[in-house]
Amino acid sequence: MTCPSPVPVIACSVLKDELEFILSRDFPGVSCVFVDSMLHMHPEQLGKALERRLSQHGTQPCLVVYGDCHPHMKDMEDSGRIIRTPGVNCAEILLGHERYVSHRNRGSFLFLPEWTSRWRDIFMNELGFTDPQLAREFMAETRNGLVYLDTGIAPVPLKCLEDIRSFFGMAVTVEPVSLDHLARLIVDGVSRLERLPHEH
Amino acid sequence: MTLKNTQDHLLNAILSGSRKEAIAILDRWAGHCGYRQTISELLEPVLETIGTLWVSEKISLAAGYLAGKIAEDTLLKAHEHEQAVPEIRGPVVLGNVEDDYHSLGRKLVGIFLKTAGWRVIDLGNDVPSESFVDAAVKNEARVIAVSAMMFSTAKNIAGIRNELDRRGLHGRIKLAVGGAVFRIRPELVAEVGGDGTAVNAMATPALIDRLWREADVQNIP
Repeated sequence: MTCPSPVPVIACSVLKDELEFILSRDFPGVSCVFVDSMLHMHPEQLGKALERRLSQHGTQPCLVVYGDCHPHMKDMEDSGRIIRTPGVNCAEILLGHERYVSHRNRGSFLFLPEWTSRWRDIFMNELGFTDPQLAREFMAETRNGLVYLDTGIAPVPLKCLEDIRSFFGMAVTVEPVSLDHLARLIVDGVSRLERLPHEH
Repeated sequence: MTLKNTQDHLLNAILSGSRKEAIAILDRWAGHCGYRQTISELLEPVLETIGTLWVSEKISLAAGYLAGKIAEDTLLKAHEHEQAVPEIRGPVVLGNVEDDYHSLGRKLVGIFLKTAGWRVIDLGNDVPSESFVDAAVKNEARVIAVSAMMFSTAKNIAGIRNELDRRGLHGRIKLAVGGAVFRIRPELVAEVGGDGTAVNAMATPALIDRLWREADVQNIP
């Protein structure tokens, strides 16, 4: 499958490795700009960063691989400036609705590979959980389990997962995830972009 | 040590993440004047300061969470010492809107409301609109406090507003809305039919107090 015209894709870096794999396989002419996943912690900054990226493409609509990650995402969609991958967050975009809802209902905390590699920075520096006892209490109160989503792109970071287990006092389950759903969303998104009138 | 000095020490203990020290400060003060007074004159003002710092993003989520746990610990001790904060206000019906599972903010709101003497009926996560209104009517609550983290779930709050209006309860039961999305997009409060919002969990008691009084006024024939 090839893309006949350049399609601007803007995505969260939490799915960088997975998207680069899919794009190079299915859309070799398409390049993607990635925005730092740490901005998930700062929705206002994320909104501004996305606006900056979008403005670089003028009035050309972009495919945006994001969930409902900042409060004006829907406005961007309604304006016709973006086509967004369906899903409330990166986990739903990767897993699909049913599987994501199943995890949500079970109270799973989902670790995507890129976030897993930055877990200390996220939990300690960004969220301030430097005290493992408080972190354990927080996780036990808000979640029922920790799940690492193994997308198959990188080896499962066993040492890192052991550190996470030790820090939160909660076992980490490794769950394989195919990239089929994400790839379908990209195909669908590119197709929707190509069907848009040229005046956009 | 003066009350002001003790408040400063407690604030520093919480901000530095020292739960033991914070609890020790509260216990020492309670040894002199009891837990009920400790909560009202020592803990509550410190929580207000932490709330202000939280809004200006000068403290972490962990510090806010720790403040909630310390308040919860202190409430529990007050109960154990039969010095529970009397539930002189409320009840307030609390919950996460349908499809919303971000429970932390709701739990903190519940703790801070109880600290301020409100009786709280917590319905949990993913609560349908009808259940909020049913609970408020059954318990004669004049305020429903609903939490939503994201825009996509915040829109579901309109269902509670519609249900209140459909049952002729507009103005008699007030709708307090909260969650990160409202801080960044304040116009959403009116869009979903909310009567007010608070900048964070610690500011919720003041909001509920205002809405309760407004509902009261509108009930006067």
